[in-house]
Amino acid sequence: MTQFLGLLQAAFSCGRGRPAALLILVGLLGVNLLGEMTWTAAERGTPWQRWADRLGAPFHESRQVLFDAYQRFAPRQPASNPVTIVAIDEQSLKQLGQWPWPRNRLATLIESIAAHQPAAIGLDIYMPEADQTSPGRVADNLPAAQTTLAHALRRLPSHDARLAAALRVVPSVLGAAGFDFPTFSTTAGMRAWPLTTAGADPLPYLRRYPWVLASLPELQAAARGQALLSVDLQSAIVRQLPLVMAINDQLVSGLAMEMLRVATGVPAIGVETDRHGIRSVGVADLRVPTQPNGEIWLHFARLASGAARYVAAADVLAGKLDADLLNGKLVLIGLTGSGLADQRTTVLDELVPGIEIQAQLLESLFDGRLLLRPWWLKLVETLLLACIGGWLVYWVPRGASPSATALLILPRAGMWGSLALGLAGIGVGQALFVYRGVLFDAAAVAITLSCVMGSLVLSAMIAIGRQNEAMAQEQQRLREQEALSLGERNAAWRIQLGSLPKVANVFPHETRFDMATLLEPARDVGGDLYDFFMIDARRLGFVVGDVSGKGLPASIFMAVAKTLTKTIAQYLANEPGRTAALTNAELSKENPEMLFVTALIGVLDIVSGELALVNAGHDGPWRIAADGRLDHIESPPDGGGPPLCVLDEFPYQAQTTQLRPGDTLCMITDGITEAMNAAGEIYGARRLEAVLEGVGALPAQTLIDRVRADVARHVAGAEASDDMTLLVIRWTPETVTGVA
Amino acid sequence: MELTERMDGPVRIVTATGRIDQASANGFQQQLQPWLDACKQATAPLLLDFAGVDYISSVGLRVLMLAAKQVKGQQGKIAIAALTPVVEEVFQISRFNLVFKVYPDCASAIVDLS
Repeated sequence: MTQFLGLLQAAFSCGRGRPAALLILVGLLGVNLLGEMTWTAAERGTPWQRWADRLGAPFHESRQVLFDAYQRFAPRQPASNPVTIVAIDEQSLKQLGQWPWPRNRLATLIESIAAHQPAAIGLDIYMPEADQTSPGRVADNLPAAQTTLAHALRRLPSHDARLAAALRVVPSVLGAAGFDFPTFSTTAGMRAWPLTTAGADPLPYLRRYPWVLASLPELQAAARGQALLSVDLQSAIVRQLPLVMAINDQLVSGLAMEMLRVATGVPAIGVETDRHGIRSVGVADLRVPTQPNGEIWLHFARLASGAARYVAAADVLAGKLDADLLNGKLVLIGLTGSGLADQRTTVLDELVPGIEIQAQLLESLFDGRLLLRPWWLKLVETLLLACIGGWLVYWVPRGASPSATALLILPRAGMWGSLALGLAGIGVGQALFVYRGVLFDAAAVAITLSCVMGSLVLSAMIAIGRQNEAMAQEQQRLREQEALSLGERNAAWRIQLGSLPKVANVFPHETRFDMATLLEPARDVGGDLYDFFMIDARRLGFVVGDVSGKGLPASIFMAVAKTLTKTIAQYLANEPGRTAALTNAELSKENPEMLFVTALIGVLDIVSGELALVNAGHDGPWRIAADGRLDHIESPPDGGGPPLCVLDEFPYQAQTTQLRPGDTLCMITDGITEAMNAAGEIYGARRLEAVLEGVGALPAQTLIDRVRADVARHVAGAEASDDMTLLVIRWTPETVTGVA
Repeated sequence: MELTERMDGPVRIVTATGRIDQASANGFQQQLQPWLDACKQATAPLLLDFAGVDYISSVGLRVLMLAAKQVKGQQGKIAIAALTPVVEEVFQISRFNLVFKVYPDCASAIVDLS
């Protein structure tokens, strides 16, 4: 499972999320296109078509919800009033008897209507069987004895004949129902007036029924027109109505167009077809553009807004009605009594009789209120989506502008952005619907763009998550390194300071000389060292040194150098030159880091005051006489040498000098002379000499304090970059009676 | 630390500027390394022009020490010229004039090295 999630993460984070978003965009566009393709009758039912429909189902659902919403927000307000419904309603049935009515009553009804000169009369009533109440049938049921009565009855015309006669003299249209399966009264054909076709053959695109439930042949023969009244239901709500259908290979008109044909007296309905499907269906000069399958979207009006066009059949028969109600109108006769009428649910969520829908269709045609979703609109939407989606995929991950970055980073900004886009699209769709009768699929736009945005935001968040993770890891690593180096520094510090001798410990009661020391390590320990030891009863050995480099390697090197020097010095007794040479040779042998150490090695005869010094690349000591005179003991041109371990072998030579009682020797490392203040100015030898000059006969510790204080004044709080070391020795032999 | 290089006759002159201390010693060494590698027997002698170097610490000295050792091992020739006063003092104290041949200026160095 985690492997799959990992793969998913990787897929979204590559290419700043662009490939994933593009894939989603193209995928959704493809699915959307597949779901709204025009299928010919031959292709319908194939696995290819079913699979495409299943894929496109979500978009199909959202489209329906959207288009329904367009209508609910702006239902049609009827402008014209071409239709009157003569309803065989509850009241009529109660007054005149239960359904089915004898057909002579229907004939009377038709004649009553005809008296008002309607434009056409359409019957939403199927009469496939002969009327059982006809006189002839009654006669058949009489007991055999009633021959006279039977004979008289048989001479009367049948009710069907009466109805046929009535139908013949008015512009009448009969209704029939298409069936997908044969039942008791269905036939394989019906009388239909031929439709003219222009362009291609419309049959492949039409809804075709193999069976039809039509009225009796003699009725069919009498009527002026016949129409199919079947309406396929999409999820039990009527949305679209076919203007033209087919029974097998026979084109048959729907009720609306046939009523218009009969009313206008035009001989044929025209169907125009092109390679995308059916373009339009027309009568006379009315051309109705249709969907490729011959259907149109009906713009519904509220049931209440058409209440005025209803009149009860009973009232018509009783003559109790407004003459205007029928004159010049397209009259539809149908059942509206509950339980008898076929009730359908409209988009406006009203349960209406089927005939109401036919009436609204006719009304729409007269209102000129036609809704259309042209075949090319889908391509426009797809192109629009491709462009906007593509631009989003390009622009958003760039993060080049503040709005792009905001979209990616601010929580929910992407969501609000998508919402805004979606709402804008829906607003446009609603406007197009109201002002142009065009059905624009803003839902697909909203859904697709939201998904694309969502993908880009998701990718950005994954990238940010990864960044944060990487940063946290880096921080952890730095923390570990810090701890490590702190540990190292601590160790180096402890090695350095731990190995330094203390005057009070080594020479607790010494009066022949006064010695004081100072070593202040820098933050990154710099490898300074000093050492002092008695070589024998009268010789004092001392060392001051400075290892190149910092940190633990320098500290360890310093410790080794210190130990070596002391050992060799004590061993060689009074040969500081050879001590230096031997130390150099030995130290060079084990020096993997190639460090070197400057050193000042000295041997002072405490009894005679003779001083032997070897200077290995170090600053020479200062001698301060008891009367304050200052003298810098520099090594002669042929004495001393480079720091230890610079040259593998070097014949270091000592220089000798004579101290006078009360003289003070001051040795430093360059941490003192090169101490820097914040401006980068170094302390300098001159300033040091200025301090030393006034010292004269003061104790060693005092001298150290003074130098330290003066350096501190110069540095003024800036951080030290190198160790500071001072070793001060004042020779105070017993014979001196001056101030000790 | 940015080093610039030019040829003056048979001698390759590498010029350094600024301070060679704890912070810049590593960079100095890395920049110098390719020319050190190239300074062998019978190739151009290498002259370091330190006219622009105003300070050098022991870390920098160590780099020079390693440079001298490497070139000596490769039987090449290397020298330094035009030390500023502060650097000159450091060289004197640390006796690095025994490690490196030091010339007062580039001209005399070129004459001697050619």
